[in-house]
Amino acid sequence: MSIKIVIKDKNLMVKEHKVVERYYECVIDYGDWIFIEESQKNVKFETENEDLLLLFSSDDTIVLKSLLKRLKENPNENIPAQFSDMGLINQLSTKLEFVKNDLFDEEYFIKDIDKLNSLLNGKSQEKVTASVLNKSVKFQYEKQETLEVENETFEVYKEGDFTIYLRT
Amino acid sequence: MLLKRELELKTLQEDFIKPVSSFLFIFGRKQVGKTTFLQDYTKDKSTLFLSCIEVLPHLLFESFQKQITQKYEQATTNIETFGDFLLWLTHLSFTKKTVIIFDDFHTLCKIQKACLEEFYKQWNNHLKQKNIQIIFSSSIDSHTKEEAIVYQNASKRIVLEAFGYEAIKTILPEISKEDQLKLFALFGTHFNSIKHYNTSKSFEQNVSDILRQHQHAIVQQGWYLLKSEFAETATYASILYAIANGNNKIGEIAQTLGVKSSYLTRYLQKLNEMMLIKKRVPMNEDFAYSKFGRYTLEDNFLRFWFKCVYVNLALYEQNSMSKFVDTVLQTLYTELLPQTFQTHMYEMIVRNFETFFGYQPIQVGSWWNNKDQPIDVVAFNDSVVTFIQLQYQASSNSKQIYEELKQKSEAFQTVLNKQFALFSCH
Repeated sequence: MSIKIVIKDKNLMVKEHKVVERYYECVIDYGDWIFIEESQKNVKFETENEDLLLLFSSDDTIVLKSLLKRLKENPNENIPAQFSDMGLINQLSTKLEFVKNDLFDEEYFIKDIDKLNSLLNGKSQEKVTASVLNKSVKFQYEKQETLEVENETFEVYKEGDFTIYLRT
Repeated sequence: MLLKRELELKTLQEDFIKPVSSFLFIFGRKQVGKTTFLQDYTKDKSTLFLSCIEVLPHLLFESFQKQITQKYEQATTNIETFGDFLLWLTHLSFTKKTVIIFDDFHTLCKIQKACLEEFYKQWNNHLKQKNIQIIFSSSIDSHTKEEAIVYQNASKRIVLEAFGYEAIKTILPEISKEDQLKLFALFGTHFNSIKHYNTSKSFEQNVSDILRQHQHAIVQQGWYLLKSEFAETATYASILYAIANGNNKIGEIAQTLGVKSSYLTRYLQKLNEMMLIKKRVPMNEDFAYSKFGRYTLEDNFLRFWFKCVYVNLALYEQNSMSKFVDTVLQTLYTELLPQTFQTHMYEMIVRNFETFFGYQPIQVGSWWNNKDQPIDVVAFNDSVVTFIQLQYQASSNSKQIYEELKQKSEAFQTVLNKQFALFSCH
């Protein structure tokens, strides 16, 4: 199995890793934006010191070396106003991103250690399962139909006077 | 592959088969495919295809004469003006209906003033008695008051739009819908780029290959358009660059360029006449007098060129291609693709509104006011009004999108029942 990882560093240089080995290590620097071409739902997490281990259902393992340390180093909300250039802060923050599972997937993007911890202790994992489209805990939608228009497919969800058309 | 413009071909053909002479105009921005279209239309017809090039008038008419006398027996004469040439043309005998095309007619208007008025005079005096169909093709859609009467009396006036997203589906039906949309977002229907697409490779690899292997042609494409049409290349390039970067209001464009808004008016008008940009106004607003005009680049390839190539010429010239390809892909995913998705969805909704919403709208369009809170689509009939948000990748909290859309809709005055919708991608 091959897994694609794209890392954009703090200088906006993009590096693409096509992982074909069963066990692959990748050193994370501060400001790296790591994108894993896989849904977070399909990955199990483990930690080892400051490293995050991503365990795939195919038995492949990717180790993101020092990721936990980098997430802890990320600028937090208590930044003095004169330093709050969000563009710069974003650029210097380490982030881990997965493929967005659906419209309501809030766990695909990890940019602080608390979020990662909540995923690690399993609480969030349960919430992901519960927040599939037709059973969202935030907003109740019922999938109404699948619409074919001009050879394109739309899944239609409706609640009251609001309709969502998802192009698949 | 030659894509057919069935509707326009039918219009021309219907005009051609009438037992009378006629003249008509075809407008379309540069490189939209006017010449190819006319070649396709005339392939089985008796045709005089006269290409207008920038040269001294008497040399141009001399070349026209040469071309015609190869086909018709007619003595040449010394011709100085377009009027002389048309008069000479009236001596020809057209036993079979003949199409006479003045391709790139705007070029002739540049080198010979009042040529359209001269044509109309000759048309009324002599030419309309001939068995001919005259077609003027032009990249500039504008006319003076004096010329207006000529346009009014033309049998047809056709505007040739660029091929849309459907063309990509026809040319590359084997690639995924997502890749088709990405390709369209990047290169539009610029066939010189997309014809190199290799379906056995990934989209990203194709983009990289096309940019690397056809680097020179891609760079030259934008410059060719600018330099062949504009004397003030830098000014027009800067305006197009500003618009490509999302500055849609005249004030924003002026601010980006550091000039007064009033200075830009004639440049924007010229770009509009050349069909390179389009002015839009909110639904229900008067096009000529609305204060809320927004300008957009019409062609995806041109938008890509100004967004990615023009601003990164240094990378191109230094052969830093890896960095350049990364920049292009990043711009594609963050800006070009979401914009293209919006345009594509907008057009699809307008075409299929009833299928999506179950009623036939009286009016449909985009709406905004001076609060910078545009609503992508608003449509209504006599009882319901629908507000639609188009978002390529909607944020995870659609409840929030719903609340924001509801709040934006407050500014749209209506007594109708409101409904809301979001179009997004999986």
